[in-house]
Parts: sequence; structure tokens; C-alpha cells
Amino acid sequence: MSAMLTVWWKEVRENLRDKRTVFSALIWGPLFGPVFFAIMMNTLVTHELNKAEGPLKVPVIGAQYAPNLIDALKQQGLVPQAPLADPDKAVRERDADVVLRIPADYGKAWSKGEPAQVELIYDASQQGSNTPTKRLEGMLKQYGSEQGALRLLARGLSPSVAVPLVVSERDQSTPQSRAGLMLGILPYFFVFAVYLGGMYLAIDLTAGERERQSLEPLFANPVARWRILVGKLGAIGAFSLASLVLTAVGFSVAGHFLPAEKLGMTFDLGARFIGQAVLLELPLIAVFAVLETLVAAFAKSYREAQTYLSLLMIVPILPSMVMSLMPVKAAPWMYAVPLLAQQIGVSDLLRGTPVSAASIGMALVTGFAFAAVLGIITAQVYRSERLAISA
Amino acid sequence: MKMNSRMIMRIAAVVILVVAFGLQWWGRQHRAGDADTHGDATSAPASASTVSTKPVGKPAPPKTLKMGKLTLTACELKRPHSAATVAAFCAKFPVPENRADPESRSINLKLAILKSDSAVPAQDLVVYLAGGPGQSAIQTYPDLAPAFAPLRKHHDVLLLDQRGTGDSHPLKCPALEKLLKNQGDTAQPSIEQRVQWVGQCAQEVGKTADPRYYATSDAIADLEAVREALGAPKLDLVGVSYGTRVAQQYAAAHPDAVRSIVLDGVVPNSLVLGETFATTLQHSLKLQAQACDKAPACKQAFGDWYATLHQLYAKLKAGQPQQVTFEDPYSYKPVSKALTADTLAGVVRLFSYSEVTAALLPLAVNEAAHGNYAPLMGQAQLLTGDLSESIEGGMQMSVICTEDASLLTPRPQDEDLLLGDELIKAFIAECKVWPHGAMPKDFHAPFKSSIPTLLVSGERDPVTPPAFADEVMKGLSNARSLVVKGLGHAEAINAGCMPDVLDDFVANLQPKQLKTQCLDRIGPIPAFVNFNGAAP
Repeated sequence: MSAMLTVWWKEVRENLRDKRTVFSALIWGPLFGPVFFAIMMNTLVTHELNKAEGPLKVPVIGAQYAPNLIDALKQQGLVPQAPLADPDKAVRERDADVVLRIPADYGKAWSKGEPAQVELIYDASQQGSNTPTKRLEGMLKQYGSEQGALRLLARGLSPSVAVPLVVSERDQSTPQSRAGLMLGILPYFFVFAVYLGGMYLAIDLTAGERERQSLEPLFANPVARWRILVGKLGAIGAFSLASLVLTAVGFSVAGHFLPAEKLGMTFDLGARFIGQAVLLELPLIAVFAVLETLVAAFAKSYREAQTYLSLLMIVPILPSMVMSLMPVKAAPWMYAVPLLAQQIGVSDLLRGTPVSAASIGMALVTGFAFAAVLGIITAQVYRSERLAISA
Repeated sequence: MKMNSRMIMRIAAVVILVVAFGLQWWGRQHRAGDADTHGDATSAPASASTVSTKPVGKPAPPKTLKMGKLTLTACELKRPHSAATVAAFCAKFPVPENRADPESRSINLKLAILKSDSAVPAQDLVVYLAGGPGQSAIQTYPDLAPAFAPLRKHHDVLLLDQRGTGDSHPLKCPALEKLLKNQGDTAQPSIEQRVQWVGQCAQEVGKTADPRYYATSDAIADLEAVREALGAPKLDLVGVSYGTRVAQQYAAAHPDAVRSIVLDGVVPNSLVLGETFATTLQHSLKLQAQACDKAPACKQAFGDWYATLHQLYAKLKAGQPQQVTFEDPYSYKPVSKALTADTLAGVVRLFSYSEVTAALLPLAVNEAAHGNYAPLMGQAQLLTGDLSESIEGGMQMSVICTEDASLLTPRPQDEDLLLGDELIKAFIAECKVWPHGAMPKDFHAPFKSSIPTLLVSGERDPVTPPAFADEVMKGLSNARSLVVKGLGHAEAINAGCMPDVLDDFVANLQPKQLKTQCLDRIGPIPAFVNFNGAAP
């Protein structure tokens, strides 16, 4: 027992002195996720909502010909701007997204009961002109149909006779499902933290020590190899855990800066969330510690191990990518699959959907069982004589 | 475009609601209680059916929602005059008809919960209290849905059909309705005639219900029972029109259960329903006339519109009913009907409920004054044409007879006003035959509270003018009263950015710090100066 602890303590202490390991495990990993997420969500959501709901500034030419129309548009959120001398050029050069032009004979046609025309000048190829143009068009159509209905009603006729068909749209998306992509990505940051938290340690403790030829004297001690392995795994796990806890706390803090209000969502990122998320990710700490050590054991040098492990980083992303591209409904069996369990579990926790104790238990059992299997294989590799000897 | 059809639907809703009122008001000749512009007119009660997504083979069991002690089943709330529906969870809730006697007849209340978009909704529950009295919260909700949209991002919404309305043991009077339908609008029924009908209705209703137990205080006891069954969440009350009376009475009886109150179309407790209808309409008409005077195009087209209206009314009242042939608004087949002073008063009153229809009044009245009666008759026909019922007359009688009639006194000073004082006399006479309970003690005492409260009024509301809100404000220590320019009855809550203001209020409970600048953008639409609209 003391031999394991000795190895563990030695590795932890040594690696705490290593700037690169500390940076990647305790700073880069845990900070990257929450900060990136908060900034990305805010920028995207604010930008979209501003275009869709904020005041709509549109240069208007000929506003004097249709004062009531302009008043009605103002009520809907239009902020008329001074007319432009050359609207076509302004639109092409992106000085304006869209320009409204009211011709001089608008009033004459209106009073006669003939269709009065207004023009929208825009450049469909300009990105960003689409939303304002559609909004303005919507406002004008709304005004037109309201006035049309009232013209009928003024004549003592029913406006409904002019509406033979009504299309009812039933958008079933919820803010949650609209934010599905974001929520799909989020659990990855937790997995990422666990993976990155232990990666440099795993490389250093096996491939690095072999390269430095410090593994051979260690193995020369009269201690079972698996005990040394357990000590090393423990050190890797400790760094992973620290990284994970920091990430969870980071998200908990970032939760206050997420534009949840605007999405109509509520993120529940309190202590309960941190506790459950960390618990759910625990088996991954073991799995990754063993897996990383195993890969590092096969590598001939520090550099080679680094290359392999960077490539292996794709594996934990896969469930996140699949889930965000094809949002699959969570089924109970998924909690039995390591990685998938963490993906589903964390996104449920984020949304405040309670994750049952049974699900967490299942994830823990299967995750640790998987880690144990990998551990036995790794122990076999550790017993090989070739491991200690550097090429 | 979505907005496009929504607008048409809004207008259709306005017309239809007006239709609904037409029946109430016109048929019974000034019988409407306090009512809502956004009321809808469903002829059949919207019975929410369980979700019917049945895959071939085995039907999926309906989804359920557990809240407190209640288990609700997924249902779809039908939207009147549209195939669109609102997804909700519904339940039946049995209560004793006579709360003083637990052994009395059990009646079922219908309630619906609209789940928030949020997976973790706020703990408090928003409750919509419908107007009328006599409207169903569940049936009228779709018209108010925009007002609740921002709130629903974080709050679940409770819709409870008040007893006697909707699917909660409605007090229906088929005989009375049939008589009204056949009666047309030429002969005005005498008070004796109407008293007889009301008596007949009381007999019909009496077969399945005891009308004495359908007043406001029974309703607030029901709401409290439902709240407790749901796990006793705090309530955010949103009362509209008569619903504002329910909200104030509930908050006074159960202050600890209420987190916030929103009142739109405010009815002060001191108000006796029916007493002020004539004077408030007159005030609204004056404001409409002033707006026309200030708009050069309107002034030029109609001159002194207020005077024209009253000259026409006096002429119709003095002379014989004028037989008019015009095209039916739906079928376009010629019909012939008599134009009376009451026809005019009916169109003027009901069109004043909404800013949209109010914009048509100067033109319609002016044309009629110059001999072109068809538009006014068409509009009147729209109001009665589709005789659908959105208000349970029996329940309305129970409320008014219990809580108001005993305080009504004839008002001869209203005789020269457009609505006159017939309504008051009729209420007094009818309530002598309608079985009703005793008025609770202090029922009309002013509402005093420190619960955060937001009051909303339309400037030209012909039923519950902003002055009513001012009166309620006197008893409130943490409240704010908002008036929206140019709007009519109970439509401010849906207008412009008001839904966001509401959401802000319920979220932060800071009525005095509310940002309301965006409300300044809302305003009346200009009056039509000819059949093609206002000035361009």
C-alpha cells in the first residue's frame, strides 16, 4: 500500500512543478470550455435576436406621401432614417440593409381603392440583408391586410370572406431544441477536461520516464509492477479530477453569463449540478487514465505518445458530435455505454432534467468495469520487460 | 406570411368577439355585463380531447403531468375559428356545489396547465382569470396567448374555467338563447317579457344546478382548492375585465397565496356592474370624437362627429324604425331589417371595444346620417349574424344578481345617453326572479394590499376606463398603473411590447422601476375617412 502511495505522491509532486502539465490540466482545460461557451452563446444569440427583434432602422424615401403608413410601421418597431440620394448604391455598398421607397402617387391610388405600391430596395446577395428585409416586408403585409380587412368591414362586409384559407403553422421547436447544438457540444467540455487533465501526466509517467530512463530503476525496486502502475494511475486521476472539478465550477460561474433568458431557458448550475456532473464523470477519469497510460506504454518516445494521444482525442468527441448532429432521444441503455452516458447525463443535468440514481449507478458500474478491463490489459503490458528499456 | 394571417385573425377575432357581445347585449337589450374585447365566440364548448397521435398498431398512452396531488392528461385546447390548437395538460377537478355543505351535489371543474418552455420553470404559477362574467378561461386563452408568450418562457400557466362557464358545469339557457335568436332586432322586448324569459331560464338551469352558488366568492374558493391540490404554489394572478374583480377578491381572501397581480380593464370593488356602462361609453365616444377633431382629414370629412352621432340617434329614437335592405356580410344575399336607435347604439358600443373597429365608427355613422344605411346595417348584422355564445348568461346572472343588483338604483340622468338607463331597470327586475345567494360582507370594500400589482388600461376603454384603475391604485402600496393611448377594452395587455413589460413585472416584482418607454410607440389607428381608409 505504502509503495503505491509513494509512487502516487512522487508523481503528483513532480508534475505539479511542471508548468506545461499544470497549465494544460488545471488552467487551459477548465477555463477554455466555460469561457468559450459563454462568449460564443452570447455573441450568437444577441446578434440574432437584435436583428429579429430590435428596432429596425430603415432609410425611407417619400415618407411624406404616406404619413399614416409610416406611423403604423413605427408602432411595429420601424425607425425611419433620412432618405438616401442613391439607394441602389447604398444597398450594394452595404450602407443600408434595405431601403423603403414610397412613390409620389401612393396617396392617389390609396384613396381610389387601387393597390398602392411601395418598393423595397435590397441586395439579396448581401449577407445580413435577409432578416431586415423579411421583417419590413412582414410589417408592410400586416398593415396591408389589416387595412384590407377594415375596408371590407367599413363596407359592412365580413373580413373573413376574403380569407378563404388560413394556414396554421405549428412550430414544435422549443428554445431547448433550438439550442440543441449548443447543448450537444457542452458535455464535450467535461470529457475534454478529464482527457486533457491527465494526458500530459500519462505521457510523462510512462513514455517520458522511459525516455529519461528513469523507469528502469523504478521497476528494479522489489515492488510489484501493478502497484507502481496503480500509483501512477492515481496521480493521473488526481490531475484529471482536479481539472474536472475546476471545469464544473467554471461552468457554474459561466452559467450566470449565459444568455439563458433570451433563449427562454433556465440553466440549473448550482452545487447539485457540480456534484452530479463530477460523479457521473468519475468512471471516465479511470478509463482515460488507463487508456492514456496504455497508449503511452506503446509509444517509443514522449513525442510519439503525444502524437498518439492527440489523435485519440477524437474518440471522446464522437458521441458529442453524433448527438449534436442527430439529436437522439436518450434511452436508459445509453447510460450503460461509457462516454455516451456522460454525454447524455451532463446535457440532462444542464437542462435541469433530473438524472436518476439508477442511471448514475449504471454509468458508474459499467464505466469502472470498462476501466478495470483496460487496467488488466495495461498491467499485462507493464509486466513486459521491454517497457522499462528505452530504445 | 405568419404575421399577415395573424393580423387577419386578429380582426376576425375582434369582429367575432363583437358578434359574441352582440348577442348578449343586443338580444337582451343592454344585458351585457362587463365583458372582454378579446373574448372569443365558440358555439360549442372546447372539449379538450386527449392527444391522438396513434401510430398504426398500438395507441400511445396519453402523456400525463403530475403536479401536487393532481395527475393531468395531455390535451389540446382548441382555438375558436381555427384549426390551430394549444398543447396543454387537462384535468377534471370535483368540488361541492355548495361549499357550506360538503354533501351537496359535486360539480366538475375543468382546468388546464400550459407548461413553460423552460425545463425548470419558476416555482410560482401564472393564473389567467377570464372576464365576462361568464367567459371560459380555457376558451378565451388563445386570444390572449400573445400576452402570455414571454411569461411562459419561465412560468407554467393555469387556466381554470370558473364554475358555471366553459366546461365547468356551465349554466346554459338554451330556451333563452333560442328565443333571442328568433326574435330578431325589430321589436324590443319589454322588461316584463325579459323577466319571463329569465324565469324560464332559471327553471331550465335549476334541473342540473343551483344558481345560488355560482358567484365570485364560490369561484375564489374553487381556485384556492385547485391551488392546494396542485401543491400550493404561489400564484401570479392575471385578471382581465371581470377577472380583475376575481383577482382582487382572491388576493384579499388569500393574500399569502399571491405573489403578484396584473389587472387589465380594471374593475374597482366599489363598482356596481352595469351602473356605469352608459356614462363610460359616453366618455369613450367623446375621446374618439376629440381624436377625429385633431386629425385634419377626419375633421374635414366628418365635421362634428359627436353631434352627428347624437342627431342620428335622436332621429331614430323619435321616428319609426327604418326598414333597410342590404347585403348580408357573409352570404351577400339581400336582407331587409329595421334600423332602430338600439341598432345604432349596439354597433357604436361594441365597435368601441377595440381600437381597430372604433376607427370605422365615424365613417359608418356619418354615412348612415346621410342616408347610406347599408354599411351600418352590415356591421350590425355581423354582430348578430353568427349567434354564437361566448358567455354563459346564467353564470353572469348569478354574479350580477348576487353582487351588484341589490346596489343598483335607477339613473334617470342616463336617459339621454346612448345606452340609456334601461339596463339598470332590467337588471333589478330580472334579479328578482333569478335565484341568487347573499352578497358576502364587505364585498364592495376597496381592495387594500401591498402585493406587487400592475394595472393596465386602454385610454378609450368604453367599459373600464383608466379612472377605474386610478381608484384601485388608492388602496395599493406597491403598484403601478399604465394607460395605453387610444386603445379600447382589455386589449392593452396584448398590445405592442406590453407582454414583455408584463414578463419583466412578474420576474422582478418592481412595479415602480418598470421600463415602459416602449409603450409610447403603441397608439390608435387613425379613423377611416372614406371606404378606402384613413389618409395615406
